[in-house]
Amino acid sequence: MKKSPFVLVLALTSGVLAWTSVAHAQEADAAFPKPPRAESKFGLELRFGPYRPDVDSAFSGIKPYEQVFGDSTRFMVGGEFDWHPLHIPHFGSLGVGGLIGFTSASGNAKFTDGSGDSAETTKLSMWLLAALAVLRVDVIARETWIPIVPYAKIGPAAGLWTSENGLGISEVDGVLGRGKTYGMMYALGGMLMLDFLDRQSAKTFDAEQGVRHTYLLGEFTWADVNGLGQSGALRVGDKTWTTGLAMEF
Amino acid sequence: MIRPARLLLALSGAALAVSAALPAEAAFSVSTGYPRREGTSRIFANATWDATAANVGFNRADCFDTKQTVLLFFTEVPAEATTVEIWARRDNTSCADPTQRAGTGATTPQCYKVASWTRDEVYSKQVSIKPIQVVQAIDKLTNVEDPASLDPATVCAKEASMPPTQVYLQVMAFSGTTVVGFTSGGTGAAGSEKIVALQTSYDIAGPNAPTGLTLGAGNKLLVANFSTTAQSTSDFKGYRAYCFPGTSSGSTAATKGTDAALEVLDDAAVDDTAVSDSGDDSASTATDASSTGERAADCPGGDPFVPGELPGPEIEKYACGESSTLTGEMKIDGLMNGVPYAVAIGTTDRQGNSGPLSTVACAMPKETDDFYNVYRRAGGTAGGGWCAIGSGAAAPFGVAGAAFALALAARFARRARPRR
Repeated sequence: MKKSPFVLVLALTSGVLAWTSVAHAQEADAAFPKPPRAESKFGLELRFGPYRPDVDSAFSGIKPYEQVFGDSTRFMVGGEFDWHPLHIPHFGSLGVGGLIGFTSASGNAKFTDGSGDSAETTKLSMWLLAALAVLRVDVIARETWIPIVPYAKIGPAAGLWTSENGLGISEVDGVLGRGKTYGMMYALGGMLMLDFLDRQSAKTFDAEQGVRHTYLLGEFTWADVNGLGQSGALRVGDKTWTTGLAMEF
Repeated sequence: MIRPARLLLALSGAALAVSAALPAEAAFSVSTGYPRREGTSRIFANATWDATAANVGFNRADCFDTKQTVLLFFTEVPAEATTVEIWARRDNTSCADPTQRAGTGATTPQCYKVASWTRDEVYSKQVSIKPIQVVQAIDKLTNVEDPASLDPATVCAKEASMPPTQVYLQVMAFSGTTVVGFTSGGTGAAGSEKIVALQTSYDIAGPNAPTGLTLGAGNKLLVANFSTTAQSTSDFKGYRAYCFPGTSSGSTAATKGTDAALEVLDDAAVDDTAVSDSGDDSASTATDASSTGERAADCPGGDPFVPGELPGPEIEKYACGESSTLTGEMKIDGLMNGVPYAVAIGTTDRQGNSGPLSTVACAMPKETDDFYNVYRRAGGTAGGGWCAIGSGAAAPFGVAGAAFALALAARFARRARPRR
């Protein structure tokens, strides 16, 4: 695979910067020893990525989601708060976290008489909630010059969805177009520690705001929220990519 | 030198409850009574005037309402006074200077007479002025000599949109042409002379009409799109939709916002051809009638809307929606499927004025398939609400989530507890 020269330059530059900084830090530490700081225990993520609820996978013929909303890309925005009480020396940390995300798709409802699109908007929106076990392998960023922290997450999840039309929440035969779907969530990703971009700012941010490190994250997310333990649930899961910013406190 | 005589003025509400003489140095009070709307006094003195506040002055309806009056009660009038007059101007500079009232040479008068009485007519008696007198003076810039001759259709008519405009009503006693009456409670004038000034405002035109009205249809609703500059009016409040229903493609129809919907339908001169094409796609497309009053073929006949004209009380029964949208899109719901509607949009301001109507557009709500309809028809069974945490086979997940949250909370609570 052909790599972009820019990527190579960036990687090399960041590696050199990281190595240089570590060296300087070690010299400084030797001259002025500081008391050891407690490990950071909290993490906050702001997440963003494409998301398409897997509604149509439950149907063999008609595809309700595609029929109404088409196939254009929609997005999920969200946040996650992690707590890492357990630190494993020379490896990483283990913790738990809570994730919340929101996605919505809207389109014009069609007339039932087949005369085309109406001016009425119909919408499917969903809140994704998950309780996650989080494993972070920060030994690489701590003990090598590569500022990357791989991680994995797993945990139960739920999707709270609502279908709306121009008059409010949809209703068919007295059944409200709103429900919940259970499932599991899995994620595998890596975080690029951004401190190397401006170490002085990173230190200031730490000293003044308590933010130890800032990361750019990239993650493969499998929201398997398709009705675990349920029958006939609306499938709102998806396999997708997520990016975002993370901060460690 | 100021003469010791003072003019004391008391304004009260309709009942004139305050009839006792005020102390000689007291400022009058105008905080009660006089035309109220939504509980707010519409005239006030010695207070900060705010152009964006609601209902603080005379509006168009006040001007047309010749029965509405401002009541005045003079408890003391200088003995040497021959007349008592009220003059209006747009700032609080004193009108005591004759040039401000008459103008000399190139000077344009800034004060215009609202009312005039002899001393005997006002002393210890109740007198009144009408809003139309104030409008005549401050908007038409003409002295009011004979209030009874004022024609609301002429005085109160105003085409262009206007913001609320500040007005000071200055009350003065005259001996001949010399001002002799002052009070310490007023404002303005040189030295220690102070003219009684009642601060109010007037606004007799609503915001401009929306233009380019188009309609889209949905299930029991219409979506109006238009462009407008009304939002830029300083006291713009919102839009108001008027819906005139035709006959249903079925046999009956009713409409939201119409107290006697069926009566409305009976009264309407229904054009049978208007609904002959119901069922085709005509309802889904916007139909914008021209500003000349012509209507498209799919419009119900006999609608009372006149583009460019102010909505009169006769079309109030067709009011079908309000919105303060800034996007130029307004959803009108609560309508009947299969009924063609003629729709016009008007504007309102915070002083209670309506602006002229837009052009008329027509469309017919029809049943639609929203996502949930399509999903259920495809065989989907989910839905019914979010309910409580956990039920049936899924309960363990809800319980697990709750337990996790509780454990987390307990952990934090334990760490937060001070250690001995």
